Amino acid sequence: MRCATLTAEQAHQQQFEELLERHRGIVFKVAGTYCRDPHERDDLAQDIAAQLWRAFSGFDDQRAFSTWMYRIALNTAISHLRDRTRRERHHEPLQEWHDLAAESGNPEDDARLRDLYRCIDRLDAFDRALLVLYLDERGQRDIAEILGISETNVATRIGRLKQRLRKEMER
Amino acid sequence: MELDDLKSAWQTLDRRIERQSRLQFQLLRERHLDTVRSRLRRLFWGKIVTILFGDALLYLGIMASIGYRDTPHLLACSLFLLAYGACLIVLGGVALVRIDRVDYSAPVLDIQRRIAHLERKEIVSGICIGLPWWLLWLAIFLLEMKSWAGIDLWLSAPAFVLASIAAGIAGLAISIWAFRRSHTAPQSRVGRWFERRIGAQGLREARRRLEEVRSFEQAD
Repeated sequence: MRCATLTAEQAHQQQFEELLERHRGIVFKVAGTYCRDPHERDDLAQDIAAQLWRAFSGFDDQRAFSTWMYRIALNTAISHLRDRTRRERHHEPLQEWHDLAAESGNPEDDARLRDLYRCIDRLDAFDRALLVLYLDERGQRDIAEILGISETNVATRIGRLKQRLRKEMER
Repeated sequence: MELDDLKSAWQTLDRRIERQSRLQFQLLRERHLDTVRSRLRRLFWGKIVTILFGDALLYLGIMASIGYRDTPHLLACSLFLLAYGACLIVLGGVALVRIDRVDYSAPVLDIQRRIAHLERKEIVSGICIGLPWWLLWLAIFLLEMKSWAGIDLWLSAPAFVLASIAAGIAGLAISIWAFRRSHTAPQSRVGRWFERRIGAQGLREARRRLEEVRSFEQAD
């Protein structure tokens, strides 16, 4: 009996690990969007994975895993950003360049990534979430479902984001 | 560079993450998946401690109210302790239910709104839990003096008890005034002090976050 339970648990964990591995890019992309420091980013990725595992028993197989995963990853990352802002209220650290945008031998790519992170750094928590989803080419309906806003709102917000980034790039 | 141009940068990032994340994913798997270090988790354990403390006060209150049922002023102190302990348990329990209802798989704005509400309620309930201590310490002191030293301070030193009650009421009134002042005039000296010491800033921050959620929801 105990053996059967263990097997069911192991199968459950294995199923989770397979899905997590298939969609691991979401974890690292979201963590990278909300954390500049590599160690902090690893900790956030770990927190996201832990939250995913905690919520996995309630996951509905009929729904898209990536949508479910995005919700948890973004909620964890936004809460993490809030906690960090609270801790660093009186001590804003110097801005560090993201290690993912570090020199890689392709100066054009590096410059593009630095621009990307410069844009991300200027956005608040919700706009960052919107940008991540947009850049990851999620449909408007998907974005609306993940964020909990209407599709019209998603379209309006993306339009505003484009305008804002255009203005900032012109400066 | 426009938003659409950022997409090619994102694809570059995607490729780099794809390369790096294989190794990172192995490390992720090796670490324990049951370690969540979120603020809610800390809040959860904080509430467990609050409930245990409430249990202890409730127990002391019950024992004292049985022991001193024939001495009105000590019975009043016991009932105060009992009621405070019960309040801690109820508030702690309500907070635990609220924390438990935060489901990270719900839409982002719903959860962020819920967390901001939760934080605001926690700060307010923290202040409410702190205020009675202006008088509660005296109730405990009177009970302990009677219980450990056999001295009934109400009978042997009524001036001390009355002065402590007066000081407690004054302290309570000043705290409530300062709390209100931190709302109406946050830049005043009192407002700033209250913000630093008691957590009015957290309250304002929670309100600001709720406003942020609200404004993001509005498409206009």
